[in-house]
Amino acid sequence: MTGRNLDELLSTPLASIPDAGFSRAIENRIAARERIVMAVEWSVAGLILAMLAATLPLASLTVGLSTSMPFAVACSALVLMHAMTRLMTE
Amino acid sequence: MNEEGFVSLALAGDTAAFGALVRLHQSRLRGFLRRLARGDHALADDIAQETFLDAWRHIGQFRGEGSFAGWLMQIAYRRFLMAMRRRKIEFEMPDGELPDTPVDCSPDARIDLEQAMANLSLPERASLTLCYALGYTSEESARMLEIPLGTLKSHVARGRKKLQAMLKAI
Repeated sequence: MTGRNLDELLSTPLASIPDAGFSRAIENRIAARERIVMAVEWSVAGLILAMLAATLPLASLTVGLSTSMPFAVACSALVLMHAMTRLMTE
Repeated sequence: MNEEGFVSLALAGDTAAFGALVRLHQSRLRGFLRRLARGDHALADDIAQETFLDAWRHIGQFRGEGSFAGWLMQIAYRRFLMAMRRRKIEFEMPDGELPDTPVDCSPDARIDLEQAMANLSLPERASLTLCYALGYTSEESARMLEIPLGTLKSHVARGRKKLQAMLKAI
Protein backbone atom coordinates (compact mmCIF):
# COMPACT_ATOMS: atom_id res chain seq x y z
CA MET A 1 0.00 0.00 0.00
CA THR A 2 1.41 3.40 -0.96
CA GLY A 3 1.45 6.40 1.33
CA ARG A 4 -1.14 8.05 -0.87
CA ASN A 5 -3.50 5.08 -0.66
CA LEU A 6 -3.09 5.03 3.09
CA ASP A 7 -3.88 8.75 3.31
CA GLU A 8 -7.03 8.21 1.25
CA LEU A 9 -8.09 5.31 3.44
CA LEU A 10 -7.39 7.25 6.63
CA SER A 11 -9.32 10.25 5.31
CA THR A 12 -12.48 8.21 4.81
CA PRO A 13 -15.04 9.86 7.10
CA LEU A 14 -16.11 7.81 10.11
CA ALA A 15 -19.30 5.86 9.54
CA SER A 16 -22.41 7.81 10.52
CA ILE A 17 -23.99 6.57 13.75
CA PRO A 18 -27.78 6.80 14.06
CA ASP A 19 -28.99 8.67 17.12
CA ALA A 20 -31.40 5.90 18.21
CA GLY A 21 -32.46 7.61 21.43
CA PHE A 22 -28.95 8.67 22.46
CA SER A 23 -29.76 12.41 22.50
CA ARG A 24 -33.08 11.80 24.25
CA ALA A 25 -31.30 9.90 27.04
CA ILE A 26 -28.92 12.81 27.58
CA GLU A 27 -31.75 15.37 27.58
CA ASN A 28 -33.57 13.26 30.18
CA ARG A 29 -30.50 13.06 32.39
CA ILE A 30 -29.99 16.82 32.13
CA ALA A 31 -33.64 17.49 32.98
CA ALA A 32 -33.44 15.15 36.00
CA ARG A 33 -30.29 16.86 37.19
CA GLU A 34 -31.85 20.31 36.84
CA ARG A 35 -34.85 19.16 38.90
CA ILE A 36 -32.54 17.95 41.68
CA VAL A 37 -30.55 21.20 41.67
CA MET A 38 -33.76 23.22 41.87
CA ALA A 39 -35.19 21.08 44.67
CA VAL A 40 -32.00 21.39 46.73
CA GLU A 41 -31.85 25.15 46.17
CA TRP A 42 -35.46 25.69 47.21
CA SER A 43 -35.08 23.42 50.23
CA VAL A 44 -32.00 25.27 51.46
CA ALA A 45 -33.60 28.66 50.85
CA GLY A 46 -36.75 27.55 52.67
CA LEU A 47 -34.73 26.23 55.59
CA ILE A 48 -32.78 29.47 55.92
CA LEU A 49 -35.94 31.57 55.72
CA ALA A 50 -37.57 29.43 58.38
CA MET A 51 -34.53 29.81 60.64
CA LEU A 52 -34.53 33.57 60.09
CA ALA A 53 -38.24 33.82 60.79
CA ALA A 54 -37.73 31.95 64.03
CA THR A 55 -34.79 34.01 65.24
CA LEU A 56 -35.30 37.55 63.89
CA PRO A 57 -37.36 40.00 65.95
CA LEU A 58 -39.90 40.33 63.14
CA ALA A 59 -42.43 42.19 65.30
CA SER A 60 -40.10 45.12 65.72
CA LEU A 61 -39.16 45.32 62.05
CA THR A 62 -40.10 48.63 60.43
CA VAL A 63 -38.98 50.67 57.47
CA GLY A 64 -35.54 50.72 59.03
CA LEU A 65 -34.99 47.24 57.56
CA SER A 66 -32.75 48.58 54.82
CA THR A 67 -30.21 49.79 57.37
CA SER A 68 -30.46 46.74 59.61
CA MET A 69 -27.17 44.88 60.01
CA PRO A 70 -28.76 41.49 60.91
CA PHE A 71 -30.95 41.73 57.83
CA ALA A 72 -27.94 42.47 55.63
CA VAL A 73 -26.11 39.53 57.17
CA ALA A 74 -29.11 37.28 56.59
CA CYS A 75 -29.36 38.34 52.94
CA SER A 76 -25.66 37.72 52.42
CA ALA A 77 -26.03 34.31 54.03
CA LEU A 78 -28.86 33.51 51.61
CA VAL A 79 -26.79 34.50 48.60
CA LEU A 80 -23.76 32.59 49.85
CA MET A 81 -25.80 29.48 50.60
CA HIS A 82 -27.34 29.62 47.15
CA ALA A 83 -23.92 29.82 45.52
CA MET A 84 -22.56 27.04 47.74
CA THR A 85 -25.51 24.79 46.97
CA ARG A 86 -25.04 25.31 43.27
CA LEU A 87 -21.35 24.52 43.54
CA MET A 88 -21.93 21.42 45.64
CA THR A 89 -24.60 19.98 43.36
CA GLU A 90 -22.33 20.47 40.37
CA MET B 1 -30.74 28.02 13.36
CA ASN B 2 -26.98 27.45 13.04
CA GLU B 3 -24.58 26.00 15.60
CA GLU B 4 -23.56 29.40 16.96
CA GLY B 5 -27.17 30.21 17.71
CA PHE B 6 -27.66 26.94 19.57
CA VAL B 7 -24.44 27.53 21.53
CA SER B 8 -25.58 31.03 22.55
CA LEU B 9 -28.92 29.68 23.73
CA ALA B 10 -27.28 26.79 25.57
CA LEU B 11 -24.93 29.25 27.28
CA ALA B 12 -28.04 31.02 28.54
CA GLY B 13 -29.27 27.73 30.05
CA ASP B 14 -31.56 26.54 27.24
CA THR B 15 -31.63 22.74 27.54
CA ALA B 16 -33.50 22.31 24.23
CA ALA B 17 -30.73 24.17 22.39
CA PHE B 18 -28.16 21.95 24.06
CA GLY B 19 -30.21 18.94 22.95
CA ALA B 20 -29.94 20.20 19.38
CA LEU B 21 -26.16 20.43 19.79
CA VAL B 22 -26.07 16.85 21.06
CA ARG B 23 -28.01 15.67 17.99
CA LEU B 24 -25.66 17.65 15.78
CA HIS B 25 -22.43 16.20 17.18
CA GLN B 26 -23.29 12.78 18.57
CA SER B 27 -22.32 10.82 15.49
CA ARG B 28 -18.80 12.25 15.11
CA LEU B 29 -18.12 12.15 18.82
CA ARG B 30 -19.30 8.56 19.22
CA GLY B 31 -17.40 7.54 16.10
CA PHE B 32 -14.22 9.08 17.49
CA LEU B 33 -14.69 7.35 20.85
CA ARG B 34 -15.54 4.00 19.25
CA ARG B 35 -12.26 4.10 17.42
CA LEU B 36 -10.39 4.99 20.62
CA ALA B 37 -12.19 2.15 22.40
CA ARG B 38 -11.19 -0.31 19.66
CA GLY B 39 -14.80 -0.93 18.71
CA ASP B 40 -16.17 -1.32 22.26
CA HIS B 41 -19.43 0.49 21.50
CA ALA B 42 -20.85 0.29 25.01
CA LEU B 43 -17.76 1.84 26.56
CA ALA B 44 -17.58 4.51 23.86
CA ASP B 45 -21.26 5.45 24.25
CA ASP B 46 -20.94 5.62 28.06
CA ILE B 47 -18.06 8.05 27.70
CA ALA B 48 -19.94 10.01 25.03
CA GLN B 49 -22.86 10.45 27.45
CA GLU B 50 -20.53 11.60 30.21
CA THR B 51 -18.87 13.97 27.77
CA PHE B 52 -22.14 15.68 26.88
CA LEU B 53 -23.20 15.89 30.53
CA ASP B 54 -19.82 17.38 31.40
CA ALA B 55 -20.19 19.84 28.55
CA TRP B 56 -23.60 20.90 29.86
CA ARG B 57 -22.30 21.33 33.42
CA HIS B 58 -19.36 23.43 32.22
CA ILE B 59 -20.95 25.14 29.23
CA GLY B 60 -20.04 28.49 30.80
CA GLN B 61 -16.37 27.64 30.30
CA PHE B 62 -16.78 27.47 26.52
CA ARG B 63 -15.32 30.76 25.34
CA GLY B 64 -15.86 30.23 21.64
CA GLU B 65 -12.12 30.42 20.92
CA GLY B 66 -12.20 27.15 18.97
CA SER B 67 -15.13 25.21 17.55
CA PHE B 68 -17.76 23.72 19.83
CA ALA B 69 -17.05 20.31 18.28
CA GLY B 70 -13.37 20.70 19.14
CA TRP B 71 -14.24 21.56 22.72
CA LEU B 72 -16.38 18.41 22.91
CA MET B 73 -13.58 16.26 21.48
CA GLN B 74 -11.20 17.65 24.09
CA ILE B 75 -13.60 16.74 26.92
CA ALA B 76 -14.20 13.33 25.34
CA TYR B 77 -10.50 12.50 25.12
CA ARG B 78 -9.91 13.63 28.70
CA ARG B 79 -12.89 11.54 29.83
CA PHE B 80 -11.61 8.55 27.88
CA LEU B 81 -8.20 8.74 29.57
CA MET B 82 -9.90 9.00 32.98
CA ALA B 83 -12.10 5.99 32.22
CA MET B 84 -9.08 3.96 31.19
CA ARG B 85 -7.28 4.81 34.41
CA ARG B 86 -10.36 4.03 36.48
CA ARG B 87 -10.96 0.71 34.78
CA LYS B 88 -7.24 0.00 34.74
CA ILE B 89 -7.52 -0.92 31.09
CA GLU B 90 -4.26 -0.94 29.20
CA PHE B 91 -4.93 0.75 25.91
CA GLU B 92 -1.36 1.37 25.01
CA MET B 93 0.87 -0.55 22.69
CA PRO B 94 4.51 -0.09 23.68
CA ASP B 95 6.28 2.20 21.23
CA GLY B 96 7.75 0.44 18.26
CA GLU B 97 5.99 -2.83 18.98
CA LEU B 98 4.08 -4.27 16.06
CA PRO B 99 2.02 -7.42 15.83
CA ASP B 100 4.10 -10.39 14.74
CA THR B 101 2.13 -10.84 11.54
CA PRO B 102 0.38 -8.34 9.31
CA VAL B 103 -3.34 -8.02 9.97
CA ASP B 104 -5.62 -10.39 8.14
CA CYS B 105 -6.52 -8.54 4.95
CA SER B 106 -10.16 -8.90 4.05
CA PRO B 107 -11.56 -7.44 0.82
CA ASP B 108 -12.93 -4.50 2.72
CA ALA B 109 -10.09 -2.05 3.24
CA ARG B 110 -12.00 -0.19 5.92
CA ILE B 111 -12.25 -3.29 8.06
CA ASP B 112 -8.54 -3.84 7.58
CA LEU B 113 -7.90 -0.29 8.64
CA GLU B 114 -9.97 -0.66 11.80
CA GLN B 115 -8.13 -3.88 12.67
CA ALA B 116 -4.77 -2.27 12.07
CA MET B 117 -5.80 0.85 14.00
CA ALA B 118 -6.58 -1.29 17.02
CA ASN B 119 -2.89 -2.19 17.20
CA LEU B 120 -1.77 1.42 17.50
CA SER B 121 -1.26 3.24 20.77
CA LEU B 122 -4.10 5.42 22.03
CA PRO B 123 -2.43 8.76 21.17
CA GLU B 124 -1.62 7.47 17.69
CA ARG B 125 -5.21 6.37 17.09
CA ALA B 126 -6.56 9.65 18.41
CA SER B 127 -4.11 11.77 16.39
CA LEU B 128 -4.72 9.93 13.11
CA THR B 129 -8.50 9.95 13.56
CA LEU B 130 -8.65 13.66 14.32
CA CYS B 131 -6.24 14.70 11.56
CA TYR B 132 -7.57 12.41 8.81
CA ALA B 133 -11.05 10.99 9.37
CA LEU B 134 -12.37 14.07 11.15
CA GLY B 135 -10.35 16.55 9.10
CA TYR B 136 -9.00 18.79 11.84
CA THR B 137 -5.75 20.67 11.39
CA SER B 138 -2.69 19.57 13.34
CA GLU B 139 -2.97 22.65 15.56
CA GLU B 140 -6.63 21.94 16.36
CA SER B 141 -5.91 18.27 17.02
CA ALA B 142 -2.98 19.07 19.31
CA ARG B 143 -5.22 21.44 21.30
CA MET B 144 -7.93 18.78 21.59
CA LEU B 145 -5.48 16.15 22.83
CA GLU B 146 -3.70 18.74 25.00
CA ILE B 147 -0.28 17.82 23.66
CA PRO B 148 2.41 19.93 21.94
CA LEU B 149 2.17 20.22 18.16
CA GLY B 150 5.48 18.39 17.68
CA THR B 151 4.27 15.47 19.76
CA LEU B 152 1.10 15.22 17.70
CA LYS B 153 3.10 15.19 14.49
CA SER B 154 5.29 12.41 15.90
CA HIS B 155 2.20 10.36 16.78
CA VAL B 156 0.82 10.85 13.27
CA ALA B 157 4.11 9.91 11.59
CA ARG B 158 4.67 6.88 13.81
CA GLY B 159 1.06 5.75 13.45
CA ARG B 160 1.20 6.03 9.65
CA LYS B 161 4.43 4.07 9.53
CA LYS B 162 2.98 1.28 11.66
CA LEU B 163 -0.23 1.17 9.62
CA GLN B 164 1.71 1.01 6.38
CA ALA B 165 3.70 -1.93 7.71
CA MET B 166 0.57 -3.70 8.88
CA LEU B 167 -1.39 -3.07 5.69
CA LYS B 168 1.47 -3.78 3.29
CA ALA B 169 -0.16 -7.00 2.12
CA ILE B 170 -3.04 -5.08 0.49
